[in-house]
Amino acid sequence: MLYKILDKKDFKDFVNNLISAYEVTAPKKISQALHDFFPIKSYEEMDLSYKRTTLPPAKKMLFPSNEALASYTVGNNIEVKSLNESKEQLLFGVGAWDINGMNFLDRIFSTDFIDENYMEKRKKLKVIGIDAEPSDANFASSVGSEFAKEGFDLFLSDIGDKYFVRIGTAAGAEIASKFGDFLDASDVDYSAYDRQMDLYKNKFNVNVNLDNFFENFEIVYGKKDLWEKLAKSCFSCGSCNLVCPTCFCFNVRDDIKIDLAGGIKSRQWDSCMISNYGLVAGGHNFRPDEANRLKQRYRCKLKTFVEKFGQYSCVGCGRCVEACLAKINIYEDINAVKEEVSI
Amino acid sequence: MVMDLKEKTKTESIYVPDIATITEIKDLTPTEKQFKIKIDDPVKRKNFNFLPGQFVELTVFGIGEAPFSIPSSPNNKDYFELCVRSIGSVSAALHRMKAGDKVGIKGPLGKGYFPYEKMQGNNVVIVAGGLGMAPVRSILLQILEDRKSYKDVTLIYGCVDPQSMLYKDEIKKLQESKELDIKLTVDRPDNSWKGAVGVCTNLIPQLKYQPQDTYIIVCGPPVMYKFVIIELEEKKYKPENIFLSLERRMECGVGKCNHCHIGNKLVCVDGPVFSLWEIKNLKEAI
Amino acid sequence: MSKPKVGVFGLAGCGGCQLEILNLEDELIDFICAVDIVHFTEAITEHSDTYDIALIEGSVSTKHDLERLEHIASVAKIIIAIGACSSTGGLNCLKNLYGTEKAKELVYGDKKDWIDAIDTKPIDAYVKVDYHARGCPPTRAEIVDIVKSLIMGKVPEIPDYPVCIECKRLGNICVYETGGTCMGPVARAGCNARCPSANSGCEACRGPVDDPNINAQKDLLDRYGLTVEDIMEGFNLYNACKKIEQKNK
Repeated sequence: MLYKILDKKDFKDFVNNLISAYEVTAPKKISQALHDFFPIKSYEEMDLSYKRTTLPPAKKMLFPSNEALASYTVGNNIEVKSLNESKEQLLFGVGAWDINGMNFLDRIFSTDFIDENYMEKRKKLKVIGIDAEPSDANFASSVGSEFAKEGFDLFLSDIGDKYFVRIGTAAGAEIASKFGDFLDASDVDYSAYDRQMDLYKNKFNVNVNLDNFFENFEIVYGKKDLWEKLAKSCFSCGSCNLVCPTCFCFNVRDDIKIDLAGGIKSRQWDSCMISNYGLVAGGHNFRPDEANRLKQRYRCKLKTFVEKFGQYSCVGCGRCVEACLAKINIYEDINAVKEEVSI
Repeated sequence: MVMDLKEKTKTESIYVPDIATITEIKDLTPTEKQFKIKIDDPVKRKNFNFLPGQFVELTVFGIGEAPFSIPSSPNNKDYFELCVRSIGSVSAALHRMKAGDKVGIKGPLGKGYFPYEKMQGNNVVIVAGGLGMAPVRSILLQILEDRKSYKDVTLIYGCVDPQSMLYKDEIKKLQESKELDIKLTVDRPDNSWKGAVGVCTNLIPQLKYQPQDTYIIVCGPPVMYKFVIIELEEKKYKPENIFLSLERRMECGVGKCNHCHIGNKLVCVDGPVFSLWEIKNLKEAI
Repeated sequence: MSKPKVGVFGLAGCGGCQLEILNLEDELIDFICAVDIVHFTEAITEHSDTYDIALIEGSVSTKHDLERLEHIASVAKIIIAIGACSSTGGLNCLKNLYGTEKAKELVYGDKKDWIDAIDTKPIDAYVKVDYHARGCPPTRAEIVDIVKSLIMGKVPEIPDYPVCIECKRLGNICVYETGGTCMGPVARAGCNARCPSANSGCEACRGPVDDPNINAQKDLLDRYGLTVEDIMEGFNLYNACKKIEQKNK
């Protein structure tokens, strides 16, 4: 990996140069407490001091909530065409946990069968990360996703009057040479970066201990009372899933056009927390109650992909905690599992 | 060799089905029909090689798509069959279609892991409940086409009533041929019924085969598995020799939508056929 | 089903649901080509008494409404309730909270006996309703989708999940974040989160989901400083006809 520095006085020019060359999606303030990622037209629109964003930016850009997959005509001469919209884009100012979330989605959509609808968009996306401010519910450092090892072209860390820049890809090196005044990092910069990283780790307010979670989860798996207690206030509204950077469940639906001559096959974000998620034709529901669904969500986030890929599928961004109106909280529930075992 | 859809996706989307034609429709029971399906493109048709236990995602354009297991013999190269109960939007639409109509086919999908090679030289017991006869018919036909390679073969087949029994004529012929031992049972017999009465679980204690040379295949509605497995374990059959075909909700069939997950497995790409050993520790699988 | 004959009818309601069909704009021509509209109270003068599908707006609030509904039901093969009044009783049901006699007196004074009003009920209190295009007003796309599905022989996909799903798909700021309150977590989706998208709390005009967590909603509203009366008002606006109760929790 190459390391460079960018002086803060050159930062604005760098961003504006990017905007002139790419469709740049960056954090914008949308309410008192919230930001969200949108395409920007000028440096001034961007606000990097964000803490919370409604949706994970990479997920909404690469795996839109409603996406057409194919179009078809009906009748005796059926023609099916794949639909796949993608364009060159640049995602600016994304935090490490969201990059790690995207890396997870990359893996999902490229394992076994390759999902071209996702991968085309991914191939055309440039990513510039920053050490974003963790929100109050962010526990990324507890699941090891406060630092991005890969998945970005450039990654900027604030070391005072300059940014320390990690160049992750050849495309990143090209961006750096083309659009900004990047200089070689000096000894002082390297040690400033080390100091900054130590400070950064301490910015995460929430620390969750996941030691033995695997074993504990197995022990409490069959404890119906515990899961019913944890899920008691669940609305089955799916908010936790839809705001999650790594949740990727979707439905496929066919919509015929009103002229009845053809239609569209599309997919929509789905949620494993809603009541009909496990419903099959004939009426059997494999997961009819909230307690079961919540338990399954935690399994999927903290166990399934450790077994499959060797990693949690939870990146600790805390969005599910912030989005839940019933105040169901993944890290409190991790602790509840631990307590249940120690009783 | 199973067609590798990975190869296919280099140029084609995994969400685009191939066009196929329904060449023949037969009523199997008052509620189930058999569809003979031929993929239109000759190259794709040639590459459509499936293993018993695999399934297809079938699209009725304008309605939607749904998974169906393939009950025909894998040795039929020109077409495959589906056995469909009218139960949801897609299957109901399929029931209204006529020979010559077009559908979309994605597949063959899943692992189709009935280990017919390992089963050779051993006894085979097939336990089917209701519509569960469809997924196991493929392996049954494959065994019959090479009958001498296997020891004793038993089919235990349970239905609600005699009318809902699938492939009645075939079963009758097989009973006469003595190529295999067939034990039939129904919950609600009519006056002409001569077989057993009750669920197919009741017939398992009668099995005389020893655990060391017996393979068992089970397919049926979700409620059936738990009780069948208790009986099979009672008789000490080995979990690695017991195979089950599982059902879950599927939206994509290609391991992306995640609907069919059970723990860390996806029914569509890791199954739908699992050995009991594989899923023994997979909670909620059965 | 090939080109079905469709009748559009209005009982006690504002006529807005019928207007939504006329507001189909780009799709209107295709819609009236796909079906044979033989009766449309608000739009055409001709009327016919032969139809396969009846789209019925409005609640049953008078004896006359009931007679008409029973007649429509005796003719139509399929009944689709369109709009909140027809599906849940809607705003009209608020009358029931006063008592019909009291309400008649309040509005019509000594002329109250001229009115044949009865307790307001949704149409499925009297006849079998095959599908509901819920909402106040219903979404045009859903009305079209139900009719299209019937022509194609498909069961219409009507959401049975809370409005939150649609809000999150859209990336909306949660109404609770902006200091408002919202019935979204227990209200049936399908409107594409129309009100919350305009930063206005959901009033559950499409009724509750099949198994709403009412206790959790009460706790939630309580946490945001609402009284029991406020909470009941939230439930009642569109849903006074059907008591919404917590199931097996």
